Amino acid sequence: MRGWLHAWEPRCKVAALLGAAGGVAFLHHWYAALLAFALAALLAGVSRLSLRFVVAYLSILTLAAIPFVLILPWTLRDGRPAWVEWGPLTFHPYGLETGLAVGLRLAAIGLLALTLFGTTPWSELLAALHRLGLPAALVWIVALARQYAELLGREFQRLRAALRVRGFRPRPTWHGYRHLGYACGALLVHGAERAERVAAAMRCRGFQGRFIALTPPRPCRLRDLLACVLLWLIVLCLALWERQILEGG
Amino acid sequence: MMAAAEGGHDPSATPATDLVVQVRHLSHCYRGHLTALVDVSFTVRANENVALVGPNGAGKTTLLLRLTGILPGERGQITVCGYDPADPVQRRFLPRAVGMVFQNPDDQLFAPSVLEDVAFGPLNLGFSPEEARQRAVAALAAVGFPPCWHDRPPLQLSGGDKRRVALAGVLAMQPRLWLLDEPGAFLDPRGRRELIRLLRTLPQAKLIATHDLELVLEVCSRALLLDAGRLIADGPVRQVLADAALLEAHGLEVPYRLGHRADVARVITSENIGLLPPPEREATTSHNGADNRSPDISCIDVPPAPTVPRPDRHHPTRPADDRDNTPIDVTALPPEKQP
Repeated sequence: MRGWLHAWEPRCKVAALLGAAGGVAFLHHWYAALLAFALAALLAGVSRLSLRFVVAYLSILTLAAIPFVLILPWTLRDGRPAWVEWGPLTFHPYGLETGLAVGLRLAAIGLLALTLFGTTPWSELLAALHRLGLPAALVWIVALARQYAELLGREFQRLRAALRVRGFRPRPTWHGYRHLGYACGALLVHGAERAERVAAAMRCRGFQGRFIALTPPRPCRLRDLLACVLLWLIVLCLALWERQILEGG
Repeated sequence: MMAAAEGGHDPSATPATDLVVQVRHLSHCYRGHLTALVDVSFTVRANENVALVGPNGAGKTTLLLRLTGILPGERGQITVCGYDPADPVQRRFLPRAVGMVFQNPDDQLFAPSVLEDVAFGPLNLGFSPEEARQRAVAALAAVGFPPCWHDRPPLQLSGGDKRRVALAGVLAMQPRLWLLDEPGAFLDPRGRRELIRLLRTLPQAKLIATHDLELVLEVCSRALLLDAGRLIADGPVRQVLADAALLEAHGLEVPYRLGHRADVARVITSENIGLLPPPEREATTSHNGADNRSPDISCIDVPPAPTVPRPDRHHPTRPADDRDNTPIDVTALPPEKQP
């Protein structure tokens, strides 16, 4: 099912969502981060992305934020009294708020990125990045990074299966660590060799570093630009509100 | 021992414009002094299908990579479609003339969709996106790839479909010379039949490195036998591949079609029917003592193999290897001698 975000001109969409993600990264307070997360969730909902897709990727990002939420309350403090005191360990609300702000910012940026990737065909996204002025070499790095991530994932599954059929079970022993190390080394070597072969195949087909999109660019309409500006304004207002109301007050 | 020859065809007898590949005294060493090619010389004419056979590690892929200019090297002289792959300026024009299909299609497919992958070559050659798209669609149709799958990611295809897309990627560039590295790998029997059919319909010259000698018999008219980086033999494909001793000495086997017939013919003629040919040692030489092997095969450093022209069961005066593909009635054989 396609929402209106799918019809958004890719250059405007990339500029709007990446700009918004950049703005969210500068928010400090957890109230503002929560509002940014709500805004990103609203966009993800409007884009009619698959819930499974969103949850699968967002859970990975959430895992990355968990250490901040768990550790910062015990290490950061301000003038307010601690909530819990266990001997030398003290649990402070300021640390918790900071950890929450980090987690919510991460989740909001992740949701904006998922919205971008989920509503734009990959080739259109690359073409949009190139038309926005990203050098061809960087566009190719983005394109091939995704490709290699998938290939390496498959290679890892094959290696894992090969280890398992020979009776290997990952255990916290030297034997286990050593063979996991071998597998990781093999994965890197295979990846490097494959990268060389892919590059050779590309050169055989006349590749000389240019990025040429097969799909013609969509026309950029006024409403695409307005939507882009609107999103930027919302994030800007959020940042100003955080500064003036929360911090100033 | 037969005299060393430079290719199965005398280059001086062929007009230079007719040659798409000229290789002279080509040698290649990888870093670490691993010798991959030693003094290889041969030519390929336009519209000629040449097989490059040999055991693993013979240097087949290295030779193909040298021809494309992907693998740099200095020793030897190569001209491919009039370009010198060693010259960086001329190498830029090689993709217009030479298309290479890699052994593993995963190495060749990288674009987000099948159509974009196939159009990648034409776009790089300077065609407009619309022309590139038309070429890609036509190439995919030629290899029998369904249009409803044009937007699928290539990495999610089956091995056979990946091979089709890889072939289409080269077909869309319409090269004058095809270099194919194990084109039959990853294909099931039906896919292999389709591949053979496709290769036979392509009019351009082809250099096919493969272990699939049955495919070679179907597609190629000439075979080059490489072993340990040396060109061992160069000649008509049916004569090179029927030479059991030559193939065995270099880690190959006579293809089932040729070997099976030879075995059957040997069983019939030498023991059962009484059409007893001379012993093999005598059969390898004619009455005047000359080597009886086909003069079209050129061998280097290889002792002459006992290629015995055995009588055909139905036409005793005709050698068995020259027969057509009519099936042999094995029921006529004694039970204990049936293959």
